[in-house]
Amino acid sequence: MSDQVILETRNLCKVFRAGKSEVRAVDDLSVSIAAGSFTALTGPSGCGKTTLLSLLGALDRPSSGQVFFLGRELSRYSDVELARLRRRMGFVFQNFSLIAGLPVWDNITYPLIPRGVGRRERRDIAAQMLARFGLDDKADRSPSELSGGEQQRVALARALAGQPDIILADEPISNLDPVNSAAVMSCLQQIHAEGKTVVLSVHEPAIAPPGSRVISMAGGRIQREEIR
Amino acid sequence: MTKFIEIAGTGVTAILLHPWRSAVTAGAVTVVLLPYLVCLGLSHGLRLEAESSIQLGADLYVSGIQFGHKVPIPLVAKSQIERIDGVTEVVPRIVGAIAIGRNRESAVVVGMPVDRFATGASFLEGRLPGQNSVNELVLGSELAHRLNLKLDSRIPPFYQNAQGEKVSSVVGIFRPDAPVWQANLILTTLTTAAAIFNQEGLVNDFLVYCRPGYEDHVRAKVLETVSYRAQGSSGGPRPMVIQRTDLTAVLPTGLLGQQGVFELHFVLVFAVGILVVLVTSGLGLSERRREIGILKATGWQTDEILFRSLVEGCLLSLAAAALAIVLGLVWLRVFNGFWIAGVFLYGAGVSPAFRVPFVLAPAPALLTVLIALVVVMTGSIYSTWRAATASPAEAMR
Amino acid sequence: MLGARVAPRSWTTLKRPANFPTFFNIPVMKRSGPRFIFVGILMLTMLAAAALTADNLSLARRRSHADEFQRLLGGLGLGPSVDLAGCPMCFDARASFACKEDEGALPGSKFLCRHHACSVLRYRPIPLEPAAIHKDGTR
Repeated sequence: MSDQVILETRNLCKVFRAGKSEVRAVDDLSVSIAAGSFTALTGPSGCGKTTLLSLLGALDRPSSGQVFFLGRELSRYSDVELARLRRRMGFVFQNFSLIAGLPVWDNITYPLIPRGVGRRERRDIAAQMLARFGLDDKADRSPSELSGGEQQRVALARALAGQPDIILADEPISNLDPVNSAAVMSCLQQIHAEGKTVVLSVHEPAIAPPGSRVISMAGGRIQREEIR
Repeated sequence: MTKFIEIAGTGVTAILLHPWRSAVTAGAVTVVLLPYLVCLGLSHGLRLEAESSIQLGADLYVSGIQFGHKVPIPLVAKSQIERIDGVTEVVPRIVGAIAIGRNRESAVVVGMPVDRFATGASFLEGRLPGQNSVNELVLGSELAHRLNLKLDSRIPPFYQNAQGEKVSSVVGIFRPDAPVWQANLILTTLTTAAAIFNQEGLVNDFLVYCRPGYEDHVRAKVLETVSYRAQGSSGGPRPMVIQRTDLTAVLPTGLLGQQGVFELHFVLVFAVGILVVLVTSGLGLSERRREIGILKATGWQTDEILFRSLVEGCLLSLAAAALAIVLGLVWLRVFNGFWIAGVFLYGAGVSPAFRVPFVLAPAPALLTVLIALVVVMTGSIYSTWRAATASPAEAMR
Repeated sequence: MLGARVAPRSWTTLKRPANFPTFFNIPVMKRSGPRFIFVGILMLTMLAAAALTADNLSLARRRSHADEFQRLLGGLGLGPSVDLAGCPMCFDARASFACKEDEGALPGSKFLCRHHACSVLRYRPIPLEPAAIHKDGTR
């Protein structure tokens, strides 16, 4: 882990409005993520973990406050720059968010298309990722033909295919059985071991691997921080 | 360049990602375009035949007008016209409507001088009425079909005049691919036609052929000198002359001249078509929004997503337009305009027994592609743009 | 360990599982669907273009009888009607100078009669009164 801060938030707020009611999903939250670190956001459902990850990953715009990526504030980014910034991040979603109808190998390498990676090269990258995640024989399968664990591994492979600086994983194991959960966590640890920054949200702090930073959240705020 | 080709490739893939939506969109556009295309084809085909009718017809049509209506004129006036300088030939003609058969089928009787029939004609089966013949008829293909008449059929008396009733015989039947106006025609000699209408000594018009450059002069002279009035009478019809240029002027030109098609089908194409495609675009909209959200979350730019959607829309439009063109040609050529010809050609039945005139020129075909593009793009690009400009989290929510 | 880096390998080394359902023996990661769709649309477009060209080329042959017919009858027929029953003007503006069912200018419409309204060509009536003729014979 280096001293360089890859992501930082200052007084971050995200308010969702539904009619007259107002929900502060993230409330005046300031946090910094060091490059190469493994950070686990924990807390009960609705505590703001997913919203915080969306804001960190430039998937959503904050209601107020600032998010910095390598020292540059995200609100200064244009739409095109934000899209290019997302290419430096790898997302893993709770519900996998794979494109139904596309075969597994295409799902993995679809984000590489706008980066100008040719078809042959994409196939090579897909083959490498499939081998890495034990999905060699699933290249041409549709996501709907895979188990939840396999789908999440495909999502991980997709996140890694673009060689991102940081992996943001939103409750990647909440829909999985214990065996698959362990496999996915093992993948994340391996990715971290290779020097990537990993930020994930989980319900149970115990799931976070030893040495990781655990941030407990409640009501959109940080309650407690610890190193496991 | 590779990047754009690859993104274009994902546009093709997108068609398969939502096969039902793609099929319904292309199908809806085809259904909207097909009658439009067929009508343009019919209109163009008819206009070409009308052009040849004008170009190969007489130089002048001299007829009579009385109380604002066209009226028959005396045959004896022919000699007055023949005397005018520049006139090379004057042909009297009778054109009239009758109803024939048990079902009172409408027919157009055309009587021409028998010497006009001296040469053979390749546009009919059988022959033209012969010299000194009486009640020899050449029937239109549709009329013959409806009356179930064949070559050499005998027709029981269908008119009565001073000479009593006469049995007629069918000596010829127009080929189905002769011009459309033969469909319900009864072509006969001037004498027989006059007998049918019991109007001896009267004709509808004189076909006047002139030496080149004399048309205006002859027209002026006819209006100045020809009189249909009986001696000592102050009343009677006045001469009326229609020149080739008059006919060319009323012939609708260009696409806007095909007003029937445009007024009817522009509404259909643009109002109904866009509505249909908007509805079909709504099929699987939430799934599509989510897909666009995933693309944005994984680094796709808005313009790249729009380009992908543009390729998808272009291919769907092209498929719909091409399908409409092929189906239009099949409808008009193979099925001879079954049903639709009857809608736009007055008097044509559901299944015409004549060759429906149809020319699909490249311009209307290109217009079809353009309309398909506008309809599909209006329906799909907006919804894609809405999803692509939203934040990925919102689109995926 | 699952997720550990593996040595770079080519996609061509991947094998399809024995039970993979497929109609053709397509190599792994080579989807045929988009290609079929693209080629299909391309072929459909080419078919439409070829059919159009062929149709336009055969125009002269199809219309060979038209010239002879019109020469013999001195020019008969102009519009979208095959008889004089509905609107004589639709059949031939020479046969009738005006539509007998002419309802004049309808508000918001250009249609003259019910037959004109649905036709593929709409004729303006030929003026009943001849144009003014000067003494020298010109109009």
